[in-house]
Amino acid sequence: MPTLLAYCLLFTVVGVGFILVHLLIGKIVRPAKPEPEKLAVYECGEPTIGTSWVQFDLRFYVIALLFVIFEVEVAFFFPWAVVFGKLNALGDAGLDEASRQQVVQALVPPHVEGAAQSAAEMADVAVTLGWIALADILVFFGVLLVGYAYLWRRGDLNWVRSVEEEVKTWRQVGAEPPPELLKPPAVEVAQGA
Amino acid sequence: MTSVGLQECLLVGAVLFVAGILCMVTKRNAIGILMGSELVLNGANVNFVAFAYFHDLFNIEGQIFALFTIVMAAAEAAIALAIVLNFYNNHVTVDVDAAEDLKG
Amino acid sequence: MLPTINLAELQSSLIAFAPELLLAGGIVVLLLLRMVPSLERLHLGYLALFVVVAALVASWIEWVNGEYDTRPAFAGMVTADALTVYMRLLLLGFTGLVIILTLLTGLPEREESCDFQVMLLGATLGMLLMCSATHLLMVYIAVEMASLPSYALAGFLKLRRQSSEAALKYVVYGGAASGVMLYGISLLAGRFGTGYLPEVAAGFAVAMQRGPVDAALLVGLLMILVGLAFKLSAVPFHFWCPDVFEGAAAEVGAFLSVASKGAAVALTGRFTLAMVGGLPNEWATPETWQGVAIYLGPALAFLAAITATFGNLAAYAQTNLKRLLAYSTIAHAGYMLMPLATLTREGLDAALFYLIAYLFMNLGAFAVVAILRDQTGTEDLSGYGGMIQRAPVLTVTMAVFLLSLVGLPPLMGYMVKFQIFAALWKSYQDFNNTGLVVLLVIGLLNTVISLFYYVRVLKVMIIDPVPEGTAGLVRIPSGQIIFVTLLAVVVTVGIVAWDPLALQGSGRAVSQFRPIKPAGAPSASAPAAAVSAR
Repeated sequence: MPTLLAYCLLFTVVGVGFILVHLLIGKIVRPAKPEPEKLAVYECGEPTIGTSWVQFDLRFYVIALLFVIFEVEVAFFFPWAVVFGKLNALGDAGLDEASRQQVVQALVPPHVEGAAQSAAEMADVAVTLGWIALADILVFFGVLLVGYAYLWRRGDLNWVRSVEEEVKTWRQVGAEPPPELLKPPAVEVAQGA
Repeated sequence: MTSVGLQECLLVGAVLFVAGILCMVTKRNAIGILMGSELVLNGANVNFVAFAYFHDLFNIEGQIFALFTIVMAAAEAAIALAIVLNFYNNHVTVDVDAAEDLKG
Repeated sequence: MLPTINLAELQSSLIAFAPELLLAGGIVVLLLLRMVPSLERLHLGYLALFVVVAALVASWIEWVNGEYDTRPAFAGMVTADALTVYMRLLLLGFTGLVIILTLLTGLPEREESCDFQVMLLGATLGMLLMCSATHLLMVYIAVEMASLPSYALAGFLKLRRQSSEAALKYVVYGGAASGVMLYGISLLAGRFGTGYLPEVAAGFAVAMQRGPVDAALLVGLLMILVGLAFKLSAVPFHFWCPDVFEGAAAEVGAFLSVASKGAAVALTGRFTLAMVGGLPNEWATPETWQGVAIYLGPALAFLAAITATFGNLAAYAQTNLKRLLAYSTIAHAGYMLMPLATLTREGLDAALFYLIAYLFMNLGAFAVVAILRDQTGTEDLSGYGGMIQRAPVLTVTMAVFLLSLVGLPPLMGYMVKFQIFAALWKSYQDFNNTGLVVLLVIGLLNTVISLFYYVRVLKVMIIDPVPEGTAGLVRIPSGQIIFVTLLAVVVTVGIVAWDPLALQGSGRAVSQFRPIKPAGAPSASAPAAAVSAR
């Protein structure tokens, strides 16, 4: 622990010191002659438009939310894929003994005990397990697809729709929608449509 | 060089947890509070992974814990962000101090 | 050495969880139906009701046949024991009633009925899993599954400022509580190398017995209790409750107040009983579990006492009826925690029995508020003056529900409160623990305090003059009248089925737990106890 702490301290000190030294050298060496051109924000060589603190269109968030959900669900596929691949290898009864041992060791945690199995028995179990695993993932993926289809049908993936819908909802409750919703469509809307 | 042990990993988890709690308590911005709750979940996740790495018995189970936590955290973040969006539509701010219609 | 797969076991697990599978399948079908353009105008409430009734019938068959066992299902993640089946009956029956209420009051518009019903069913599914979880990972997943749709339900009235605020507060507090709970779970599960509840409990007990007290373990246990207390809306984790109930629709409030709390009571009961050795373990003597019980019992008792007292005192100052009912539900969470503090299966029995009456009277009270909101446009108490002249039937039923919430005989609320206090008293006699008598006295005092604010509502509705400028008789659709009248009848005559000396139906629900005996007494064997409880 103390050694580890020393390492942490060392890295912190070196890291902070490295930056400080360079900034200091730059400060001392460079001539200080500011002019508007030099002080301007650098943005890929283009003149900047507006401030960088603009608010992004809310529609980005909707798409981002949907993306996050479906993206993370894919995490469930990783352990499944590992197990399924190994089971497939074991399901082949003609596998040679050395590679079989290797696969079993990778698949079964060391503390799990079980009766010793012959190659044929093991292949049998592996095939059954494989089918169950396949059924599991198909159900899981099917449910995901239903969710995806649902929000597609609802139009949550459409870029243009959200504004129109919102205006409609405002009008439905008898209120005048906020002016920013009624603005003529921006450039990207025209491209999307 | 000393190897990193269970203690150090749990320390990282504890730091994340405390940072998350502090973030939730001090932030007035709804998004900031949600980031705090993500930190708390990740603190727990570091714990799970650390225990899984150092305990043979917990090896598989700990990883499954972590996996489910990640997915649950994402689902919670998605719902929470949608609710914040709805709040923004009604209040035109994400400052939680604006949530003061209901009290008593 | 692949672990062999027992297909028969997998099959029996799937059959034992048929009600949950039916719900899950129903959700998918509801979503799929929206794909078909010709069914776009269909109101999906009836289909959701059908799904719930089907699941209810499946659970009812399991209950009648006694087809439940204490064996773990799905490799120990969940169990379909008697407690699970009992809670299924309660929760599914209640969800069915809530769907009927939403059909009567027309809360979700036709276009949004799919979203609403799917979230309602999803939350119910999570709550059912909360009741059956026997693994800490499952506890977390189930709590989240129940919470996430609830957050969205609270914010369902999209264009109402208050609704969005309620949802925001709910999700912020809920996210914090579930995060803390998960951290506690990571400490316990990591330490014992498993999240399986009986093994965690056994490891915990041994660690406590060996002495010196391990702070990390106690902190972990405390953090899990924080998460459970949030779901129960126990003080000091109750802040979300009044705001959410006031901001959300009354129908959603009814659902959250009973279903969410009921599932939390069952989960807390299962968790705490497991921690003090309620699950069959041959090797453990009563002394083994003492180390945990001396922390857990007082903590729960303290939580129960302040929750009931604070809820009742705060309710007194409320002018919004939904807010008042919210504080009343906090107080009732306190009542339900009281018997759990005895850490016996008889205590859990009393809490589960309480849920039956709580279901009908709380749903009834929220239903009356929802109906009056639709007709008068206000949820403020001052707008309900002289309601007896404008809506006589509703006022009478409201009186029945509120007096039952107080616990006055001969209503249902009386019998369940009696059971709770009887459980406390019996436990005091068994364990000679003075703290339980103090808790009993606090409970009795709280009943008296609660009388005042419930009666104040009735005074406004019956004695106060009709406010200026309101129309005369409120016209209420007959379906709604029949609904609340039936609930009121159940609350009134429900006591007939009660035999204070015999085991209630809920007694069967706790039969698989080992009777907890005071240290020193010979421990009864689990199978014998299970038989005697039948």
